[in-house]
Amino acid sequence: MKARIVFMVCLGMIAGASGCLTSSNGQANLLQTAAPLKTENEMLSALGTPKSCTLLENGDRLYTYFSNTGKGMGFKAKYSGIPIVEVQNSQRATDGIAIIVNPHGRIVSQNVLSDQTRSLSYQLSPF
Amino acid sequence: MNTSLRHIFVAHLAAWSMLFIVSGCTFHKSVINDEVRHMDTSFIRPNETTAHDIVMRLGPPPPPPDNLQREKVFTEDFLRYSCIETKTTRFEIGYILILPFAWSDTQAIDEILVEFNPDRTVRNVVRTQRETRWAPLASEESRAPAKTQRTPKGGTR
Repeated sequence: MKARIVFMVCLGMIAGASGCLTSSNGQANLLQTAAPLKTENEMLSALGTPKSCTLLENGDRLYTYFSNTGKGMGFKAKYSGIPIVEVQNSQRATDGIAIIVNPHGRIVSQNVLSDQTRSLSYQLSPF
Repeated sequence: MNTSLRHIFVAHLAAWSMLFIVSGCTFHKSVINDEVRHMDTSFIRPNETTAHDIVMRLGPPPPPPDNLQREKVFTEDFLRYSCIETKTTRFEIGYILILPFAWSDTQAIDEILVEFNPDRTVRNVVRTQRETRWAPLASEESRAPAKTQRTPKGGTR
């Protein structure tokens, strides 16, 4: 029993160091590929299909791209299939890029938008 | 215990240990809106085809999955069709105290954006195809670059 606990603690430390729960969603490497761009063609080649496109009043077009990545760690305990406790600490980052293109296909503005969310959830059964 | 019996015992122990470890490993793949991958957009002619023509031929854009509900699939300015694939690798070890290891990658593996002019004719069609990866078995660097096609080539002015 002692050996098992030591093994679990070691595994927990490895998991904590590496982030045992990871997820990515949206365009991979969005920010790395988003070096300053000059034209609409360059934008589409580098970033692919935009998530949205909006025609502005002055004839320019606003394009947006998004990517989410999540990382966290947690553990759960079950006894005979019944969940006893579940804890999860996670962190999610959303990166976005907003690009304005003029009617001639030239990029007039490129902004990076980022936000981070942290969450801690736990469940203690049967309460 | 003689040597051959010991070898048999060790082999059995190793086999059971492997079975124990492997039984906690799961691979899950899901594809949402798979029909988008088979959509033929070659009938779309820039500055001629209208939004109505596209909806009548391809149908309305399918809704995004629950976790991507904030992404719009149509407005006055565009229609977006996307096929979403998720690959998840899980490794759960332990019987009473469980440490869940999970890696998940979600990508729009086929995404079509049809952009309209103010008169509701097509301005551009952009289609991108990407790959998802089995994390952590495949690294981010091993992912093949996305392929993007644009109609008309070079874009409109």
